[in-house]
Amino acid sequence: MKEIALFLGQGLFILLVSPLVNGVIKKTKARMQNRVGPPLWQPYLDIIKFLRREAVTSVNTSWLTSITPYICLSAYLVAGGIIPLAGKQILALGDIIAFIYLFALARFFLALASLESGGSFGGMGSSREMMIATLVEPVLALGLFGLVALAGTTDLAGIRGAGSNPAGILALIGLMVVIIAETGRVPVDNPDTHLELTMVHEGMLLEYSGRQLGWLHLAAVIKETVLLILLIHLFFPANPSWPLILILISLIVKIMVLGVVLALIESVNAKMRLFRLPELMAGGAAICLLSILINSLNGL
Amino acid sequence: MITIMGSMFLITGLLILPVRMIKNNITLLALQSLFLSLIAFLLGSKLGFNGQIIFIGFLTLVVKVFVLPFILLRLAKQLKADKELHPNAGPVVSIVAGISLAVLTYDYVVPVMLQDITSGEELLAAAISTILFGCFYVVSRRSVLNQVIGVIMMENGLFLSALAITGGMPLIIELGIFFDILVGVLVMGAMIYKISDRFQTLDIKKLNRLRG
Amino acid sequence: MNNASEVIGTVSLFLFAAGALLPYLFYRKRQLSLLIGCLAAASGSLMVMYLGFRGLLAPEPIYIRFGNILPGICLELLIDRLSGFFLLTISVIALLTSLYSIQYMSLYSRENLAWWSFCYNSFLLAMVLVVTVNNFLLFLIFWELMTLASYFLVTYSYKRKLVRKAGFVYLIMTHIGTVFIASAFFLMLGVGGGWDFAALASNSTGLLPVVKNLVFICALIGFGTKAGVVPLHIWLPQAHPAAPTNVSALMSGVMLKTAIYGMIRMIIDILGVGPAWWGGLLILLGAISAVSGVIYALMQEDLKRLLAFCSVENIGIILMGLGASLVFYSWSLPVPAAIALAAGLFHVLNHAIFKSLLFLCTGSIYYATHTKKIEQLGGLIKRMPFTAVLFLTGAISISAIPPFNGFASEYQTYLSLLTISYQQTSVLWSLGAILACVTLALTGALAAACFVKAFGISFLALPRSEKAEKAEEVPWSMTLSIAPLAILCLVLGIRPAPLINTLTKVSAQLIDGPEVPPLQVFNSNLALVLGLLILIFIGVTRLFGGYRERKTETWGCGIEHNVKMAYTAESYSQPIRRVYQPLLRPKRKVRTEFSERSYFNYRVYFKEHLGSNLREYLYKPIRKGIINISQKWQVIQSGNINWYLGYIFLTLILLLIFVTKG
Repeated sequence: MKEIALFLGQGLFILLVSPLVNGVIKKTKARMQNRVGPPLWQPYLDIIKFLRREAVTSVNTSWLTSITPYICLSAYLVAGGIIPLAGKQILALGDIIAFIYLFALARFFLALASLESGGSFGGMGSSREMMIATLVEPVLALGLFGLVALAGTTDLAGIRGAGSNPAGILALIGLMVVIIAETGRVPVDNPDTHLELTMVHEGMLLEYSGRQLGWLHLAAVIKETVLLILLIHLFFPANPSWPLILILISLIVKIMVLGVVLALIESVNAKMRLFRLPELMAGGAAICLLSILINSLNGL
Repeated sequence: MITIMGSMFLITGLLILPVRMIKNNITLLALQSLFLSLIAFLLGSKLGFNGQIIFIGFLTLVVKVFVLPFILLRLAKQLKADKELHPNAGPVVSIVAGISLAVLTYDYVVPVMLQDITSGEELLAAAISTILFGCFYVVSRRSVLNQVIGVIMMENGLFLSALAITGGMPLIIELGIFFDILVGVLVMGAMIYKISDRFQTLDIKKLNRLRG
Repeated sequence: MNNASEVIGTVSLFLFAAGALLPYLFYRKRQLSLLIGCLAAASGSLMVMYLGFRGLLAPEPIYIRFGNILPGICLELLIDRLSGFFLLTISVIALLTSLYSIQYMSLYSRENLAWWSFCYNSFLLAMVLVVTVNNFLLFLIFWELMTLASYFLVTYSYKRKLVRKAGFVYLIMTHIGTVFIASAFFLMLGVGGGWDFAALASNSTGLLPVVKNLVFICALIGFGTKAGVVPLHIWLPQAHPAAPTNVSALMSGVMLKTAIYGMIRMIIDILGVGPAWWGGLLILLGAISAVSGVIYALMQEDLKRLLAFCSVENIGIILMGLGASLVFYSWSLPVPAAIALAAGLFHVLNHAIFKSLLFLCTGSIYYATHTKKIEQLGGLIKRMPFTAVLFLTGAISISAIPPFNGFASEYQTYLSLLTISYQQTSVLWSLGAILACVTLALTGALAAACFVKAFGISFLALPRSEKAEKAEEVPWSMTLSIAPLAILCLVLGIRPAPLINTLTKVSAQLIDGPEVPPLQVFNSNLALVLGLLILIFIGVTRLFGGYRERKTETWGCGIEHNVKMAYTAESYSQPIRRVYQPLLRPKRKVRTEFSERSYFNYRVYFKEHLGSNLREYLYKPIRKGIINISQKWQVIQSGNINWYLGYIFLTLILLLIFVTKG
């Protein structure tokens, strides 16, 4: 019973904190561009506004479009719930592999739903998203499995802090590249525009509106936060013997710091051409591989 | 006595090689078969009047000495084939080759390779030489009719080797072989007739269109 | 108790035989002969299913003797856990496919249906016997029978030239495979030893390592050809689209698996533990097959070709599990070995289920629209809602997405591969295992892209052709015979534990090992939480403002929206084609034609051809080389009979002179 309460609490925590993370990133970016920027709580207001609006969908769509926002949201939340923030594993829900594949679940349905309206933009976004996924997933797997091999388990509680070693810095950089691509940030994708040349994630959401769009925006910010939490869990974990409240506060602080870093990276880079992405990913893969090599040489 | 018959068998085989007249070849073949049947009779009586071998000898007499040569002669007459015009090997080469093949069998194959076989060595040597003669004959001649004669000669050799080593195969198998040879010659006869009808020649040099 | 199995086994074999022969009695009444054939096959499969269950669950193997059929060769079925598992896989798919065929084959109502029934039932019979016989000679005989029956099924629509060509390639490739299988067996055959597997196994322990390696390589090539391992898979994408779809479901779902059975039987059971590089080679081949299979699948626009390439991918995944198992055996770690083998076997079953599910759905599409080109479909989700749900289930499962069964088995494969790297034997092994996992992740992502394209383009948006527009849902008998497969996908994905824990016992019968502790899996919890959360969010939406949607036209940037704006299959896969250019090597031609001035009114011709690289860079040179050598050799082939006779004569003389006594 206590486990379920913990799980629900963790889910609620992620649900509530993630718009704030998005707000911090947006604020930082605005500051870097010499703008005042929206207030930190603006994402909350946006999402609530969307949720109160009626959804308009294309006549071509079916139940798939209607159900996709809920699937995405749930998949990301469960992925967040798998990470044992409070020490030990909450419920036996899954491990790092399930984590990766939950993201695939959400992506699969979103890519399908964006094809449904029969417009060009949805298809474009969907096609590009799947292409990026084929580049991102192997590198993500490389980075994560390197740590898994080091820890000797795929269990997320078992790989807490697996990256807190010298070679871990390399893995961190590699995974950072992956996460930028996965969350659709510059230089891979620009989350702020609806320009046909750049859009990937936004293209997929183009035909969504109102309530459904609100859920999908929420899902997107949750995804971002969950990935950051995973990084923190792997590289900068809090001491599990601390009281819960302290862990949470330190977690929030760390997420915010990482969010600021993301925003800085985004601000100093330009959007990359879509087909130069393999080079970026290859770089990420090389860094991850290097980290694995160093670790395995140390281990033997 | 058997040894003498064996050498007669060998000599008739050797004589077939250089002879160019097809009729003579067929006659020589019949003669060889006659010696074969005589060998069978002698072997049969030597082994205590073995009915089976004698029966086979009798069969040889009927089929190979009378029926087959008759068929072949009639065929040669029908096709007006009386002489092999352009053999691949001339008479001298043929006889030299035949003798060297005989030397090979008598001096090397039978005493060295087949030294485990102790019974009927001289017959075995004659038999193997005849097989090789038949083979050589087939290679050296161009007329289709002569190919058939060569095959029958090989078959004679095989037959003798079976007789020499084991005293004849089981009767049923022998009967099968005879039937086989008879039908084979009939079929080959029909084929030869067709060939000469189609190509106006019996020369197998002309039959190379099927080349891949 | 064994008696019941014997009776049922006999009856099932007779049913298949009856299903093969009886339709010929009603040759004229096509419908009736089809019905008899299908029902006999279905009831036979039902009985085989019982046998499979018995075999899989029983601790001791079941023997069924039929007596000698050749001198010294006894037709005896041995159903141990491994055979039982494969029987189960075969029978489940065969049962549903047979039921499906009753309606589906009405597409071919003008053809010779009795002949089809004959081939179909012989095919099933041969497959059942291949995985149960206990004797290598019979194995080869039934293996050939299976190949021949499937060849005739592939060439069922023999009037089309492409079909005949596909059948020819299939026949050639599988026979090359059979040569290797036979030579592997002959290498193991002892002096005066028996023909049955037990004799071979006891004989193989004394083999030299070199011979063992040779046997392994032969078995790998032989069975790999049938299984469709890259680079021996070239028959597969040709044969599967050529066959009637229900047959491709069986071929892809089940027949490929008999090759996996053969590999396990030959390498693990008979040959025994070998060096670790065997497993490494299997993993490597598996990884190559998986990636190249799926990436070519992604490029196809014919649904059946796409699925066929996808089979190559899944065979690759199965091989990775198998390879991990071999590695563990050679490191004397029986427990991980058993788990890895179980992972491979689990994927065998899963692939059988979702691949036949997808093939049968494709059959339904073909039934409704008479096309299997993705570009001509579209909008089917509204016209064929049930088929759409079924296809979607299959697509999710094959993309290894939780909570469906493809994820459950790939997950176990991941764990097994990672366990290799935990051992820290050497940098090479650890890194190799991780890289294998990475390929698996890449495969998963590509498969997801592939099936988003397959499902999205053919079922979603607007119909792209008149055929698709006029499509109607297929009859109930077809949908209902596919539905159990979809349910199995979900059930096995949510509760894989009982099956996996049974499968870990399979290897104990092949190689002695300790009891494997029951594995803990989380899949059911994950599925439960996921489902609950989705329901909660839908509920929340209902509470606040309802679930209503307003429907309008899709915005077409100011122009009226039409179907030409929608993404096509080709354009969908274009980014991936471009990114993976080094692997795929498409030949691209772009030509621009200006009419008067540039910028205005010009035409662009774009042509992109994606050939098979293997054919280009592997098979073509081989073929060229062989033809060259043959032409050189043709010198001796003069066409003159005297020459040929002379060769024989010379050979005879040489043999007489040089062959010494043995």
